[in-house]
This record gives sequence, structure tokens and C-alpha cells, in this order.
Amino acid sequence: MYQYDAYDHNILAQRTAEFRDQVQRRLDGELTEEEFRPMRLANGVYLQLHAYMLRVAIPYGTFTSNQLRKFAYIGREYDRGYGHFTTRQNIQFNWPKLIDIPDILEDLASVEMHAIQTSGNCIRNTTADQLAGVAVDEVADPRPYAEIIRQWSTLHPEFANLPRKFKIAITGSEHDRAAIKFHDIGLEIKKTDQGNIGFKVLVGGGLGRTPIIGSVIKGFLPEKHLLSYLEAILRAYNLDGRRDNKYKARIKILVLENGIETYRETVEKEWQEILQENYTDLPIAAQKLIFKHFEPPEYDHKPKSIISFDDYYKDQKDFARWINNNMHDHKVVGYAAITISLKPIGGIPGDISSNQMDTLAGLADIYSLGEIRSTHEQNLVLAHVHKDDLPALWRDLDAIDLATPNHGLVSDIIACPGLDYCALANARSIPLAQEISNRFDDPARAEEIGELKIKISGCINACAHHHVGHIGILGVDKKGKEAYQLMLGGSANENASIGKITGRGFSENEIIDAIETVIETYLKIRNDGEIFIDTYNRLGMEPFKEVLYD
Amino acid sequence: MINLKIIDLLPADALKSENTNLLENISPKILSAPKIILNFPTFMDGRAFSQARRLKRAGFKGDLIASGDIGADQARQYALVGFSSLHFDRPHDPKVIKNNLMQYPVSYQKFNADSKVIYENRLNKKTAQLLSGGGSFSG
Amino acid sequence: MNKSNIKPLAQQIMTANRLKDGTVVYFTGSRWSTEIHEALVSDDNEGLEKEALKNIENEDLISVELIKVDANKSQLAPLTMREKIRSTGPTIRC
Ligand code: SF4
Repeated sequence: MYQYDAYDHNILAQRTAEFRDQVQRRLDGELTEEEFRPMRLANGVYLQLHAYMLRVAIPYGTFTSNQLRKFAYIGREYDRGYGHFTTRQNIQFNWPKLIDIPDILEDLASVEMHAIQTSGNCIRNTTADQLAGVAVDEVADPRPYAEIIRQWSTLHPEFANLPRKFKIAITGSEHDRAAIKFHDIGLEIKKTDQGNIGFKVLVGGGLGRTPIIGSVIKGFLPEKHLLSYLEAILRAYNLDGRRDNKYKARIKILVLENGIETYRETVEKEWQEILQENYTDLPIAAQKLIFKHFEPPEYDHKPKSIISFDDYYKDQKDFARWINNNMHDHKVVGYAAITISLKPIGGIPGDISSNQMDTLAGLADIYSLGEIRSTHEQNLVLAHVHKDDLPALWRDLDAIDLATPNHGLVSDIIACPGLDYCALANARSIPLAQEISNRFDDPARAEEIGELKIKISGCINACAHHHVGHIGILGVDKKGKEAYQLMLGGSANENASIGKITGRGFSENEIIDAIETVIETYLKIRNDGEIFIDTYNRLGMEPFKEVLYD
Repeated sequence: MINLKIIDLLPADALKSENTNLLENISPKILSAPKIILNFPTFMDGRAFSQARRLKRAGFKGDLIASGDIGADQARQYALVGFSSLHFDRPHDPKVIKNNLMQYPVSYQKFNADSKVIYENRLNKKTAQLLSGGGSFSG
Repeated sequence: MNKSNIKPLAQQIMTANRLKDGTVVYFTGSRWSTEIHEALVSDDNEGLEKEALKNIENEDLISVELIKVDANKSQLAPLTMREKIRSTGPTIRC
């Protein structure tokens, strides 16, 4: 994975010093809160309901065991002993003191981490497929391109005050695990018959108040022009995106209002100018330097385990269940990638304690080349595990409650922080996730139900992507009381679709039963081999509506 | 270090470009103006950053003035996209501006022939010894 | 004037977050306390706000606002769920 050189380190050191100075000036009264607010936001510092929150960027969701140990340390030293993984592959801390944040940023910088551009109207952290570099169905590894974007977008002076925030996602596989159709820009790596690499570029996707599936703006962009084309899109948006209404300021509205054809023309014209100027695209040699960091590792690991995978799989039912649900195929024969569920039954989606982080860092060192991935579904992945190590790994993970065998199942719920933490929320999300998870705690029943994506947002900002959940739940405020809207039929992968509202909303007491009703109905009416979304796509909303509102 | 003038008064003879002007087609009259003012109506409105880039790309050589709700902590940002003068609406501390201009002597982006950009330093034999890492996993 | 149109003024308290650490605090009439039950309840919004703002400067507070409370209960309770949770902490862990 990418390792900083002195230039990268220098940028972080200066950024940390700059923010330390700004915090001091704020405390000394030299800066007003109005002046300071954009500065703290540019460094990932929000004011939430109870306290400040610090969001740390995890570039394209890849990090090392040392970085994880640092998260554990920060959780313990400056917070309440835990951290929370978000739907954008980042980690956030819920209780830091403003006066401690410069020190935290210094700690982070010591392990090549930061909180730059994790908030504000700028280019945010680029997200990627969590199986990047190891997925069997991959055309090419998206991480080097994500790193190229990271560097180009970091402290970009021109794009620091866009009309609104800007999110880019990239995948190297046709099967989309990065939800690229719901980002401001989505990139899918393509290979021509001649073997040339490039990108299918989508623009104007997004969720929030107006959920929209991204449109293709360029069918094939040669890889060497990645940055110039992104710059053209960003500049056209910066100049012409709406600034009169916060809810119409995302690029999706610009594309919607002008039409993709017109927008494509505008971008194309700007792109030609940028190409002529020729300052933006990386020279091949510079690109190569970045690619060097992502050469495949040596897969010559000697398993430590004395248990044979096959025997253990036959004898140990819980292990077999974990393998069936949480294991992913790997490019290299004999290896596997494993999802570490951060959704223990009844737990808080995405939360992990400092103690768990420390132990997991050790396990990553032993079993997975010291590397960990975070996913937009708020789980973690060990991407390089030898199959014969899986029994031992499973037992070690189980000992710290990180071996829940529920990846992709009913209790693998995405939930935003909601009203328990978030200053913008209408209703709580986490307790709902906990109740659903408890209600479906029987793993055999969960497997019977099969793949099911439940996503719960505490307000219309849709941080938990509720529009694209097979079952989506949106918290609303009904005369000062929490209430919930139910949506069915969304999907975030290559078959993207936006869920439809079932009808009138549900109270806090009704919503869990409503979800169970939907699931029970699906079980009754499904055909052999169907998962929930298939049944919904075949029969539509009617059969569910009938039982929900009879 | 970047040079940037702080001016107390907006020159009366300067051309004012509207904040909504995309500057897609730049007339010779604009290009040959000695001074152009671009406006930041609010701190959050970053359109003038891109307008400055377009003017510089088209070959504008005069004094490019940033005016309005601009911040001392962003001085270097204005300079990088091509501004040569700043006119503040708000009180501003010259010390902050000076510090800001001295920060980040090299950046990840290139804006003109003289930009000090990181990727070029990486490729240059004299400055490349600062490189480390590459191709391995750190534990 | 039709008297029945005049609603009784809501009972309010003043709240804020401390700048240096984000802690939620309430105005007691003379200082800012982390305990909501020490808050000064008033139906005179303007008066309360004025008094509270006088006491801000040396406290360094942000996000200062008036919130409605139900003062009839034995325990002082904010009316909205948001403010309830804000005063007691997340409902899911302590
Ligand atoms: S969806 Fe709303 S409530 Fe949930 S984290 Fe985002 S802004 Fe907060």
C-alpha cells in the first residue's frame, strides 16, 4: 500500500501546525466562531449534539495495523474507548475536546493519517471497492488511481469552496461494491480489447433529499487523462453549480437541470483547454512512482495453523457458517478475503472498542500482511488470509466478539449515528438497528432469509443510504416525536435502483413489527432461489403494502 | 515565497468581473486590462478561484485582485490560482498572511510553468532523495 | 382583541456548548452548569437571553440557544427528543 515520502509528511506536518495555530487563535479570541468554523470543518471537526466529533480520513478504505493501533490509542487517550466506522470508509471519534485535537492530529500524522477534507464543501475522501487488488472479477486495481486522486485533491486551492461537498468512488470490477452510481463522480475501470486501461465516468449520482442514479458522461476515458477530466468536471461545477439553495447545490442538480448532454459538452470544452495547458495530468513517470506502491505482495505465507481447513469446516458448524457468509474468493489460489462484521447481534453498527482494535491489529499482522480495509457497509476486511489460517483466525476473532457470521444478512445493518449523536437528526437510528438485530438473532433464520440489505438514516441527508437499501428506513420528526418511513426495493450495486415508500410512516413502536411483516411476507411469496430484492423486483410493492396496511 | 500585495483601496480604474461571469469566452478588452477585480461575495463562494484560473490560462498578465469576504488564512490559496493582490472586507492580521504564504512551499497541484509541484520534485534527481517507501507492506 | 388567541408563553432555558471541549452546559442565572436541573427556567425569553449573553464572554461558549422545557414535572425535562438526548447523552451507551 501507499507509503508517504518526505513530501507527503511535510504537507501533514504543516497542516497540523497550521490548525494548532488556528485553534489557539480561536481560544485566544482572535478568531470568531464564524471565522473558525470553516477552518475546523476543513480539518474534520464537527460540533455534534453532545460534543465535538473528529472524522479521520481513511484513503480508499485501506490502512495498516499500526494505523489501527493509533486509532485504538486515540480512542482510549482522548475519547471514550471506541471509534465508529462510517459509510464512507472513514473512522470518527465522538468525544474529543477541541483543545486536544491538535495533539490528536499530530498523533495521526505520525502514522500518515489525517482529517483533511473530511468535511466541508470540498473533494472528500475517495472511496473504493474493499476487495481492491484481490477481487477475482477485477479488471485492474483501483487503489493507485484513488491515490492519484487523493494527492491531486489534497488542499486543492481552487476547489476548497465548491457549491457543496463532492464525493468520488472508484471500482475495478463490474460487480459494484463501492456504490459508484450514487456518487458525485463514479469511476469504473475498463479495459479495451487492445488491453488499454481507462474509465467509464459517471456523474451526478447521489442520495439525500433528491436521490439520483449517476449518468454516464464518458464511456471510456484513457487512464492518463484521469486528473484533467476530473478537473474539467469540477471546474464546470464550481463555476456553475447552484449556490442559492443548499438542497440544490450538489452536482446532481446541475446535471439534472442542464441535461447530461449539455453538461457533457461544457465539460468536454473545458477539458480540451486543460489538455492544451497540460499542467494537470501526471507524467507517466510520476504515475509509475505511485503504482510502485501497489505492486502485489508476495503471497508466500506459511500458515501457522495445525488444523486443516476442510476438517474444521466439516466439524465446526459455527466456523462453517462464518466461512459461508463472510469469506470472499481471492485472486491467488489458497488465499481468501474475510469480512469482519462490526454488527454483533444487538450491537452498534460500525462501532469498535480500542481493545478490539488493538487485538485486531495483531491478528492483521499475523494473518493478513498487516493490512486492514474498511467498507462502505461499516465492516472491516482482512484481504490476504491463507485458507489454512482461517480456523485459527476465526477462534481469535470470536474471542473478541468480531466473528459474527452475518455479512450481507438481515442483521448486517447500515445505520447512521442518528439522534444519539448527530446534530442534524430527526430520529434515532442505532436503537432501531439493535432491535432488528435482536429480533433476527437466530443465524439459521437469517440464512433462510438470505441476502438482505437494511439501511437506516436518521434524517433526509441519507448518510446510511436508506434509498438504496433493499429495506430502507428514514427517521422523520412527527410533531416532536420520532417516526419512521419505510422504503422497499433500493439497490446500490450495478443494478442500481431507488427504493419506494410503502405508505404512511410508522411510530417507534410499530416499525420493527412492520419490518418483520415485510420479511415474513417475502418468505411466503418468494420463488426458489430468490433473495428479497428479486422477489420485490418480480412482484413489486403491492403484496407488501397489502399486509402492512390492512 | 509568493508575492502578494495587500491593498486598502480598490483601484478605480480596475475592471470588475461579475461573480456570475463564467469567463468562458474572454474578450481581448478584458485580456489587455491592467487590473481586474474578482469578487468573493461570501467566504463560502469559491467561484472566483476558477474564474482566476480561466483568466490566467487565457493569458491575462495584469494585476488580478481578489476582493470581498476573503480570509487571511487563505492567502496562499488566492496566490496559487493566480491572484496578485488582495483587498479585504474584514480586519486581517498581516502576520497571519505572511505565515500562510510561507507554508506548503510545494504542493500536489501545478498551476503554471513556475509552480513548485511535488510530482516534479519526485522525478528530479536532485530532489528525489526525499523519496521513501514503495512496493512493500508496512507491518 | 380576542384573548383566547394568546398562548401561554413557553417555559425556556438557555443552553450552549463549551468552546474548549464541547461540553453541553445550561445557564443557571449567574453561571453555566453541566447540570440541566440547575438551569434557570423563565417565560421571559428576551430577559433570559440577555442575562445569559452577559455571562458568555468569560465562559467561551458556542451554539448558544433557548430551548423549551416542561417545568411542571418534578424533573426538569426538555420538550424535544433532541434536547432530551442532548441533556442525558446517547441512549445506547453511556
Ligand atoms: S443521515 Fe442525518 S441523522 Fe444520520 S448522520 Fe446523516 S445527517 Fe445525521
